[in-house]
This record gives sequence, C-alpha cells and structure tokens, in this order.
Amino acid sequence: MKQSVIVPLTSLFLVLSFCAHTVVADEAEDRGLEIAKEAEAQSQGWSDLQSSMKMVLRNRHGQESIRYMRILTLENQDGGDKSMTIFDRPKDVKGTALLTHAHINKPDDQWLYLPALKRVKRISSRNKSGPFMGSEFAYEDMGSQEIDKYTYRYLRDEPCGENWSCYVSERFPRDRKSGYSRQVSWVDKEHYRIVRVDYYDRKKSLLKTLELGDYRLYLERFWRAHTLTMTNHQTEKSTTLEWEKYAFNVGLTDSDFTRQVLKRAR
Amino acid sequence: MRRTFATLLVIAPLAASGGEFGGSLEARLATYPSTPLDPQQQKNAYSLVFNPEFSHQWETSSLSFSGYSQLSDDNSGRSHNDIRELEFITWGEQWELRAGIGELFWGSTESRHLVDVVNQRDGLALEGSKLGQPVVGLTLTYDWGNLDLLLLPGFRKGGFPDSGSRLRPALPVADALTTYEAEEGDDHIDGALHWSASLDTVDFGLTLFQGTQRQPRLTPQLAGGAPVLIPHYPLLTLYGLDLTWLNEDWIWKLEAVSRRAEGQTQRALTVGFEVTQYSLFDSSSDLGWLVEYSWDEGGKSNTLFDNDLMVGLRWSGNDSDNSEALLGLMIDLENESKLLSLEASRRLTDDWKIGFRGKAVIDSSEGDPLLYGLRQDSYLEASLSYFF
Repeated sequence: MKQSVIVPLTSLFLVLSFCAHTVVADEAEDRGLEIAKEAEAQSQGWSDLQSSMKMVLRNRHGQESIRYMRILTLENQDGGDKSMTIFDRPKDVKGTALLTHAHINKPDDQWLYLPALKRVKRISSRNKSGPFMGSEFAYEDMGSQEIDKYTYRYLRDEPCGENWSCYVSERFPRDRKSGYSRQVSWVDKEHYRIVRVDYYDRKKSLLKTLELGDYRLYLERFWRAHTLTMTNHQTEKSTTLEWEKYAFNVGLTDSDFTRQVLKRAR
Repeated sequence: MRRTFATLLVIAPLAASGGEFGGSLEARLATYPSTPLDPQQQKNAYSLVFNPEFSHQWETSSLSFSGYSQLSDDNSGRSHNDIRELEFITWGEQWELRAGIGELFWGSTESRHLVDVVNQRDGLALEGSKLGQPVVGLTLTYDWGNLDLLLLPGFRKGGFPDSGSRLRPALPVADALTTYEAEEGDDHIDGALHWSASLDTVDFGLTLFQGTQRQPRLTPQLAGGAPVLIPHYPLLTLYGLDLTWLNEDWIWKLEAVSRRAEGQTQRALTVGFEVTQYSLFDSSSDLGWLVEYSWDEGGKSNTLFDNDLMVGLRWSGNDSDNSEALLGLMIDLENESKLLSLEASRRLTDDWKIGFRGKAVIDSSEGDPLLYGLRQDSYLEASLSYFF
C-alpha cells in the first residue's frame, strides 16, 4: 500500500487501515484526514509500474547536472510496495541499484548494489531528511507516504493549478527524524491531483516548494504528474524530475524484486 | 593475448547487434615519501587503468563483459590485463544459470573479507580488486533464501610485482616455481556453495568452499644461488558464516570462518558495527563510525588481522558531486603497529572524477612481520578518472 519513489508525490496523502485513530478533536483535523484518505483511495489499484526519469539539478548560478534512472514498482495493497531503482547516469554510478521492500509499521528493508564491488549491501532506511542523489528531494519526499505517519488539518478552499478548485491543508510528521515541522499542500477537488506543497523546516521557516505539473491520465483512473520541481528557498537550488516513460501493468511480480535480481539489474 | 582475441570474437558481433558500451579510463600517480628499503624501489609510481565494459540484455538472459588493463612503470611489473567478467546469464522466476568468467562478493564486514573466497585477489592492482574467475553456477531463489552452487574450473594465481615496485615482499617471488597441492595443479576444479537468507532485520549467509586456497604460502628457498620466495597453493576446505543485523541506526556485522588446509584447522573472525549520524550539524552530510575487531588463529606471519581493531570514519557529503571519504586506523592489540588508510573521491563534472587513496604505516613492530616489511612504503595516490 505504501508507494515508493516519486509515485507518492502525485498522491501525497495515502491511507492506512485507519481504525486506531478514533478521537479526532477538531473538525478541521477530520476534514484534513478525510481529504488524505480520499486521495489515497483514488490512487490505489495500479498494480505495477515501469518508469524512467530524468533528474535535473540546478545550483544557484543555474548550472545543471543531469541524472537518469529507471524505477520498477510493485503495488502491495496489504503491506508495503516493492521497488527497484536502477541508476544510469552519471556514468560513475551506472549500474548502482536500490531495492526497497517497504513496510507500514516498521522501517523499510533496503539493499544497495554496488557494481564496482559486485556487492549487495544492506543499508539503513532511517535517513529521512538527507538528500536523495544530492538533489533537493529528501529521502522522505521520495519514499513511502502513509496516512498514519502524519496528522492533518484542513485550512481552506482556494483556486490553484489550471483553474482548478483546490483544498489547502497541512500535515505534521509524527516521526521526530523528519526534517520538517509541517507541510502545506494544494490538492484539486475533482481528482485529488497535488499542485503544490510547501515544506517548513524544523525551525518553522519555509524551506522548499514542490510544484507539480503536466498531469496525464493512465488506465482511465490514475492522474500522474510528469514534471515535478522542488525549489529550495534557503539555498536557491532546485531539482526537476521529468518522467520520460510510464507504463502500468507490465506484469511485474515479487520475483522481480529479490536481492538476486538486484545483482543483474543494469 | 589469445584470450583477448577470443573476447573480441565474442564481443564484436554482439556489438553490431546492439548492446551497451561504457567504462572508464583512469590516470594514477602515487608518491612514496619514505626512503625505500631497497634502493631499486621506485619513489613515485605512475599508471593508467582502462576498464572497458559491454553488456547486452535480452528478455531472460544477458551477456556482460568487463576488462581491466593496467599500464605501469616498467620496473614495477604491475602492468597487466585481465578479463574481470565475460559471462552469460540466463534466468527463470526462481533460478539463474551462469557460465563464463565472473566476479562475485560474499560477506558483510568492511575491514576484512573472510568469506569472500571465490575470486583471487589481483596482487598487481593497488586498489585491491579481484581477478575474473572461470565459473559455472546455478542460483536457486525460494522463500527460504538464495542458494548459489558454483563449479570453478581453472585456478588463477595472485600475481606479484617486480623488485622495482613498492608494497612487495622483501624477497623476489619465483612465480615460475609455484607448486600446488592438487595433482591437477591450476586445472583443479573447485566448488563453492553459498546459502543466504533474510529474517526481518537480519541477513545471513553460510559458505562452503572446497578447492585450492587463494592465498599462497610463501617459502624462502635458494633458486640458482639467490634467495627467493616460492608460492605454494594448498587445498582448502572452508566453512563460513556472514551476518548483518540492523538495529535502528546501528548495523552489526560478523564474518567467521573455519579453514582446514595442510592438516591444520584455523579459525578466524571479524565482528563490528557501523553507526551513522545523518544530517550532521543540520548540513546534508552524514558521518558514520565503523568499529571492527579481527582475530585469526593463523597468526601474524599469515595476516595483518590476527588480533587487531579497526576504527573508521565514513563521511558522505550527499552533494551533487557525490563527495565521500573513508578514514581507517588498524591497531594491533599486542604491539605498537598501526596502519592508517584513506580513500576519498568526488565528481568534477558528470564524466570526470578525482580520487585519493593512501596508506600510512604509523608504527610497526618487528613482531608484525608483514607490516614491518612495508614500514617504508606509506603512500598517497591521486587519480583522475574519465567515464565514457
């Protein structure tokens, strides 16, 4: 049920079997949670995904550095999703691959394959706030986004995106290791497409803004953003993710997400 | 040369049919600040390393090639070529079959690799890389884990640099006089088995190896009136265990082996942990601490790791240039010997990378003969790599 690497950015607020949280004091909190649950419900059932993306890193002088990677993902509605990320560029990390078995109630299992050493290394998935591949996206922006990892509050309705009518709500991470104090998101009312997210750091100042665009419809159900730009207001650096290939239902199974397959992924 | 030609015969038609080329070219300059023990040993060392790669993937099979060519100063004897990989792999849902020349890694610890016994160490390459090993292997993948079954036809000798080189044994090694316990010599077919599995936060593996030991025993003898070292490769039976356990920010690692060769059983162990502090001082950097203890019944004449502690620091900048550095200090717990090592690298552009590697013998005791022989061979090497 958890989604991994980027997919979540198109549907930031996901669900978890939700029985534990019965008492919600505030109407705005109820509303915020409802929106998150609905967004999750709308994004489920896509089965598996084969995708490739270009990542453009820009420094404050506008100099660009480009990365390419391919991502395979298998949805698991009862537990955590599985994913494999294979790095193609820069060339010195070509062939490096990351296998993630995501979990709902415990940290994800992750293995990294280092092609120069032919070594599969078990790594810790507890690094939340560190940057992914030196980009402006943190691991926690890329990783699984479960409903239960946050508390929510609905703020207001506001027009956003391509003349859409949007919900504006905020969410607060429960994890003390998160690099954020809160996130504010703009989500369109009709299809729950996320248009923008503001990230506030632990000192409560505005750190980053994520803008999502070029939404396309897949399988007549799933809206996916194809351009995602994260701007860091404090360093003036930015990173743009551009999806180049996106194919659902390609027939991936659990056997495509083993440590053995990680070694021959290239 | 014959082998290189054979490789070209295989690769050329495939290259025409598509597939992917890549690789790197690296220039290295090493400097040894201390006076050498032997005046003919070099003060600086230059080398060029070419690493071409090719791979082609079909629906359920792949062919991959990785070459290694090192060109070094004439008198170091370190120039050599090797096929690290020329391997055909085919697979189904729960199995994988491989044949060719390959390289693999088993194990969990950082300072010493006790269970990584399949590939011979490349004794001519300073970076500690491994030689390609002829292999036919079957891997089975089930819920109970992975089982690797390997047949290893053809033994690879380690290789020793010439007398002009640094970081070599005190006496010349008479490679031509190499002896083997196995009657078939280097044609002996070795076998290896590795079972690995994951249980929640624990990954573990069991290894069985039967065949010619990769590390030779070097015996001083007179050959033509001059003292030389003669390598002897005994037959070895090895049982090994490797383990990784993730406990919050701590990663615990263990490797243990029992080796039986030449009528003797020796045990060895490496155990330790790595703990990482993320986002150091609110920056994007991580700092990891590594501590590993090694013990070996083989004693100081066979290994640097008989009763030693390694303390290391791993820094990752997590920046767009992928800056990283690893500093390690090996301390012998019985005498004064200490060995400091450094590795650092960063990308200059998307295609260029700069690196540093070095080792410094800080203290060496005569009671640690292997390290004592290298006491003047502290070095720092700078490298510039181009990736294509």
